[in-house]
Amino acid sequence: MSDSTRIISATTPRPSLSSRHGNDLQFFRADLTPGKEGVAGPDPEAGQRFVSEIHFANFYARKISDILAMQRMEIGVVEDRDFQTGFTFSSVDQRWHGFVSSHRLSYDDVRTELSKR
Amino acid sequence: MDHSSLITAIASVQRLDGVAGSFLFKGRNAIHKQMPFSDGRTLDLMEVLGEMLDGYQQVRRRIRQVYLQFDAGVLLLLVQETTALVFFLTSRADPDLVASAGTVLMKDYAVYLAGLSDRPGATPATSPIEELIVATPRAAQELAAKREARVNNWGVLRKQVEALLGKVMGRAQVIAMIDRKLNALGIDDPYRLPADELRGLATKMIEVVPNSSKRAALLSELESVLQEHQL
Repeated sequence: MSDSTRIISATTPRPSLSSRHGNDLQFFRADLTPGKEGVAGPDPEAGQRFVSEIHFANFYARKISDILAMQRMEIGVVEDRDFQTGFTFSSVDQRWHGFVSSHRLSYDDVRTELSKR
Repeated sequence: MDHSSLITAIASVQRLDGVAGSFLFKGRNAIHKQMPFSDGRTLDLMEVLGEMLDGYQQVRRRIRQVYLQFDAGVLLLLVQETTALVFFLTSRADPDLVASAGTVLMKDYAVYLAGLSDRPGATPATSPIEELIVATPRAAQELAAKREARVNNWGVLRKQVEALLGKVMGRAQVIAMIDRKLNALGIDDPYRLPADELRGLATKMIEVVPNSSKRAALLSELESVLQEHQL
């Protein structure tokens, strides 16, 4: 009976989202600068979805930030019945980073994951 | 499940930690708004979000949630068909908890929301909920006066009483008798009488008939009239 309970040390790193969700979670990096558009990631089709999602949401996020007197959108997450797409803009490399997943991630997990990008 | 209970349910979610505001709209119909800025700004926001959701609908995407984190707050949209429940969150909020509570709320009220119009102004956006704090006896009196500011259907009932009494006396005599009776009872405005007093008044009018058998017959007829008026 000694092995019935598995003790996980508090210092053990949590498994990453990608390992928890297998291949359902795909990470992308996109450059939307005019003339330099491109997306890097495991699946070109999902990559295009990722880019379209950012274009559309960011267009309205700019309008909303004007209304709310805010500076910029930091994180965006769009969820339909098939996919969840999360994205953030990195001021370091001036690119959009994020994921497309067929499983819903909690906003807490999304923020944690995107903060690493 | 009515408008009032829907607004109460939204207010309950808004009491969660870090929820600074909320609004509910269907198409261009602002159903409820309680945001920490002007109504005009809220309507501008609603317009932009409505356009955004229209865009998703045009490409036949069934959006469930949109989370937009800005530098000074989060806008969380929960979408069900053409209805959107929007929460404005501060950094103290747990967006997963708010999303979960809001989604359950929208499912609970799905039938009611489906029946609402999506035309602008179809539903009054002002919340019918008032928090009443009665600080003085005068304020209590004013509230009581407000509560009593409703009228009964004395006009119709009087005509029916006149018709009943007209069977045993002349019309002019009936009208004069009713007016005299109102004066004698000190009733200035019979339209403000509560249901039980209105019932008593109509009965007293018939009781002036001296012949006991005729009076009993008229009281019996009056009973069905009163039931018609739910008195």
